[in-house]
Amino acid sequence: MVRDDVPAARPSRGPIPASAGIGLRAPHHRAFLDERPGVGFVEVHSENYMCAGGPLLHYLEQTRRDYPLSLHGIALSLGSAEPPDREHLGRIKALIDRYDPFLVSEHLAWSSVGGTFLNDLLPVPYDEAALATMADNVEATQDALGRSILIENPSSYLRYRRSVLAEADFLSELSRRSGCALLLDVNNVAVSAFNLGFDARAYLDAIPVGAVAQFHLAGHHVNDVGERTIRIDDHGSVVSNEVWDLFDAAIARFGFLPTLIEWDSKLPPLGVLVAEAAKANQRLAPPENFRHAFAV
Amino acid sequence: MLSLSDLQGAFRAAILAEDPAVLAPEIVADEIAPERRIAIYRNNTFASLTEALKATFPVVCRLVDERFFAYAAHEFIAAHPPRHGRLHAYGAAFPRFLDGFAAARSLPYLADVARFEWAMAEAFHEADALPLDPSALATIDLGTVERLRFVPHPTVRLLASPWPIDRIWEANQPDAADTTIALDAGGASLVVQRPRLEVVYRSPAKGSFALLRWLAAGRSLGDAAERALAEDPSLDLRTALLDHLVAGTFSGFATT
Repeated sequence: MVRDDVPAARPSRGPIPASAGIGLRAPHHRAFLDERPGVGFVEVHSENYMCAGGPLLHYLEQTRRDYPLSLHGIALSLGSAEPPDREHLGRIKALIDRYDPFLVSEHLAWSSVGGTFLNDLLPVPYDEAALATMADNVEATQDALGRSILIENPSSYLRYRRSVLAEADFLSELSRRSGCALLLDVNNVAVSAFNLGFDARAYLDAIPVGAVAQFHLAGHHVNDVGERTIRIDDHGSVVSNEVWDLFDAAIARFGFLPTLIEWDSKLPPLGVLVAEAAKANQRLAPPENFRHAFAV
Repeated sequence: MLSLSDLQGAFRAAILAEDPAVLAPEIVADEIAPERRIAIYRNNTFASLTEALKATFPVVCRLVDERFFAYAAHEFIAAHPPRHGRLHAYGAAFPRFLDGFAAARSLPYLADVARFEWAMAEAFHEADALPLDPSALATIDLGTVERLRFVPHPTVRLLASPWPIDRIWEANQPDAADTTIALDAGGASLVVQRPRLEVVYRSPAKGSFALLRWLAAGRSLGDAAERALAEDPSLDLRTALLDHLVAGTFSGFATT
């Protein structure tokens, strides 16, 4: 199955096969360079590399020589009422100039308010006011970076009373207004669908086919909250069977796209992530069908 | 209706001040109360920031144990939340917070161990520079030696403590063989730096450390030597300077 329509994401240099990559974290840098595993790309959290120098930048540069790179931001806070921080944008731009990523992504979330950074991907109300603000923030970001970005769906634990749009509709409209592409985190869809009681497959069906340019996969865990249970998106385990099934549905709808295995808490040996990426690859196109999603 | 900005301010109050009074009515109530749902975000925020502090201050955490560290971190985060999302640069105020943290008063060296770990974290992320090649000094006109000024390597951090914080740090490494420390063993004067990829530290003798302190403050070699000798008359100037040069403590020099 090969799609003809190209995602809205602006291309960067070099074709990127629609294969699975892994989230590269600092403890794995040296093992990754030693083992050079057969993954399609690596993705890092941009903020971890916003430093003047040191080993992390050195290892990332070495890694980048042989692997395509995706820059995934977690702190730009595009859902804030305030415009994105110019200094932070400048730091992202500097990383783009140095490492030439094929994707640059952020979240449908906020974390900064009045100069305080809360270090969590906090929920945005799905109403017109927040949509207009966030579309402006995404546009300002794309103008500052000189390229289009991807916006990821969040994992949610609450719903605002003022929300009038479904999340999928909010994202679709955000993409339409700002020209951003969407990063579909399949695990987050499963987590939010369970926590907020919506249908995960209907969520996929509500997103326009051409809008999605990347998938994320990760593990979550289940917590008891009184009588009820809630799913917590902790990126601390293998991908669940339910999420693999939903991934198949996402591939069927959106096509073969670069897919990331994310792991952040209780980080296992590198090989565990590589094995998860291999599992994702089995579900993506076989090698002869690799679609070059990001042509030159 | 609250503006988006006020809604987010209410969220901050619900997380940092544990006051969900304004936010809770904004949340859909069902079988799980809004306060319980908000608490998930509060837990995520404090847990992730505590992890960030633990990554920067692992020996402090080991000295006080995980539960106490989580308590100290919680108090610190609520009082000094991050101003930006670069978490490797979060925690500069943690040592000073520990100075005044009553619950840690039985560990008077704790804040200085935190300063040592913060210096190492800063050196790790600081700008790279090639250490000065000592042979570059071979061409110096002997008549101008006194006027030499050295540029400290950007990663150099100097710290002094009345406690043996280097030995405390070493004894609390996961692979440490000897875990007993004599707290009356005397203080430590430490040079932390990252000449290339690895952060290292050393503890020069009193006069040698004083020489480096004055040089790092921008004094000329003649001036720094005079002041260091006043602090420690036993200083062997030539050896001390060579030690610093060989360790890569400087990245350049000027003869003006």
